[in-house]
Amino acid sequence: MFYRIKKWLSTPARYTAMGMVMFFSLGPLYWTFTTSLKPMGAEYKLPIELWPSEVTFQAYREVVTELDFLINIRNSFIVSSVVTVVSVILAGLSAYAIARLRFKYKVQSLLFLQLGGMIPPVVTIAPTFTILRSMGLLRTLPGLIVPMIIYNVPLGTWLLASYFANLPFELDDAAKVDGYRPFQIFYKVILPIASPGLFSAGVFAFIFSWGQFILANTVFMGVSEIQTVPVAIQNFSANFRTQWTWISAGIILSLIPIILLVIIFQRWVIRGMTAGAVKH
Amino acid sequence: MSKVRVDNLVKEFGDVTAINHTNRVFNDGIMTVLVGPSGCGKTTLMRTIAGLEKPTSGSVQIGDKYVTDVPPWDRNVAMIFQSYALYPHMSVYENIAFPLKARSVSGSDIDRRVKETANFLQITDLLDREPKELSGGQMQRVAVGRAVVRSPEVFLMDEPLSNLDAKLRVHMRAELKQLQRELEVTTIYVTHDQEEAMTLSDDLMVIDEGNVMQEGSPSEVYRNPDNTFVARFIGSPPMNLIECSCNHQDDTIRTQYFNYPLPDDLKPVIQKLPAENKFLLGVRPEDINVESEEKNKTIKTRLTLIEPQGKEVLLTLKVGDIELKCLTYPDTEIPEVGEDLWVSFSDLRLHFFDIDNGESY
Repeated sequence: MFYRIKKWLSTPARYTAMGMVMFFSLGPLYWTFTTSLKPMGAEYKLPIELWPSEVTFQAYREVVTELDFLINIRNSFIVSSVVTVVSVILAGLSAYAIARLRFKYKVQSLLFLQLGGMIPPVVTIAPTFTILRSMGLLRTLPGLIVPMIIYNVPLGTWLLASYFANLPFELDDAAKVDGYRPFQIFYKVILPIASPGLFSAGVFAFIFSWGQFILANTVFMGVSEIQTVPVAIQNFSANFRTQWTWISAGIILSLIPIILLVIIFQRWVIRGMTAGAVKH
Repeated sequence: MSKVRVDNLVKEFGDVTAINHTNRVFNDGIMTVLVGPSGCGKTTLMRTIAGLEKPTSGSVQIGDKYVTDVPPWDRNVAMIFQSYALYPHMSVYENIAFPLKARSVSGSDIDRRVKETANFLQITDLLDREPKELSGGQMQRVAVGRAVVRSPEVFLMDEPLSNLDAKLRVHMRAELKQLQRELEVTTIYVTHDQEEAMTLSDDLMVIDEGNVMQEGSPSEVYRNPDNTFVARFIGSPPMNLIECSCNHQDDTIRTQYFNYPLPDDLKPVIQKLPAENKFLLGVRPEDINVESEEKNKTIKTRLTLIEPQGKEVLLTLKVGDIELKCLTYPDTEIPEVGEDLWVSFSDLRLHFFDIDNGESY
């Protein structure tokens, strides 16, 4: 019975399902890409053109030169990099404690941390705004960086704790009798062999910060030179008319760093880093 | 070199008592082997000495120093793990140097000692390799190297040979023993393998459910087990234990199926045995002798299984419901399975145990 279901799923049905998923995920991306190559106004042209009859890089040129979009990409890059580095360090430390040290109220502290992570940013936007205002962080990049770190740590902790928990515990014991204290063990033994886990947590944090909109829009309050990519793109439509070619070009440009990041770091995210540690 | 001493040591995990009020001294410069079935508390005892477990109560002393509250990184003990626990991101050289770096040994000193150790263990050509490029036996040597390199006060070895194949295990066993003899470092060795325990130990501790059941030299423990647990655990195949009673008039041991007269030499022992109550008679398989014909003190058994083991043959015999294991030599005349066989016991090697508490008489 199960075999038959499996067999039925194996060929045509599976490809159909995969095709649908790809259509819905890649279709809009394709449409964005082709729109970005159209001259201004051509995006409304009927009948729909699957490939623009006239290809131009006009939108890219305008976005970069007239709208100073590269500054926005730089802002996003600063925010995402700082958030990634700091939140991976903090998440790494808390995950190490949760996964590999013994202390009272461990489960409770993990739950407490996760509870914080489960609240969507939009719910806490008002109190966050008040706090940032009193700290004088509104209209600044740190105003986005600090809350983004706080949002990223619970998820990173969760990811890394499960990664750390799967590393052999004898390594900690061996390092302890070899004369190392827990913090030294963390950065001399656990961190190097957990690098695949750290990179995946880092990539998550980077993408999450790169795409953050609501909080960014609130913090920057229309000051364009510190805006990050999603806020800037949204402002392309703020005038009398929505400039779809600009928006599309902005989206494609903002995707490039993310795609590069994943390509560069995927070779680091290799499994089997612990091969040879213990013999089972 | 230091002796290790535990006083009134208790370790509980929730409701489970892993170590039960243990007082022991692990003598200076010798190898003490802790042996027992899995879950008996032997590894916990070792980990408590290493400082990896905190005792519920009691104290641990290494040399003259009380270390009960000293963390593992400040105790000068070295440990070899069953899984070797090599650091996968470091070369063999770095693995061996790692404990020295923690102790702020100078760079040139580290280099000299790592190379000396590698030379001693014949792993010099492996120094640049990564752990994942090593075979089980090589990983084992590196783990030993990491322990030896810093001249610790105590060696702790937690089943270091269990992950090796049988042939390599016997080889490494001899090497470890020789190493210990040369270095004369107090060594505590944990194993569940009674054969390994017998061959390696200067001092043998048999442990069950957190209690030391017997301690002594391996031959002493083998010849004079204090209780039925030790009698069953040490020796393979284990000692035969037969439920008996005893007649003080004619100095005969009686079972449901046979009577066995005892020699005069054993009379003082027999007098101690309870007359009406039952007790257990212990006979090691090699102390059962196959006789060619019925004699004065022979027992008639039925041969149910023959297991040749090379230099010996293991026979399974039945007397009524009683099953006996008997070790004999291949050149002994053995009948076919299902036929009758006459056996006798080596009288002076018989053991007597209390049927209730298992203690030796």
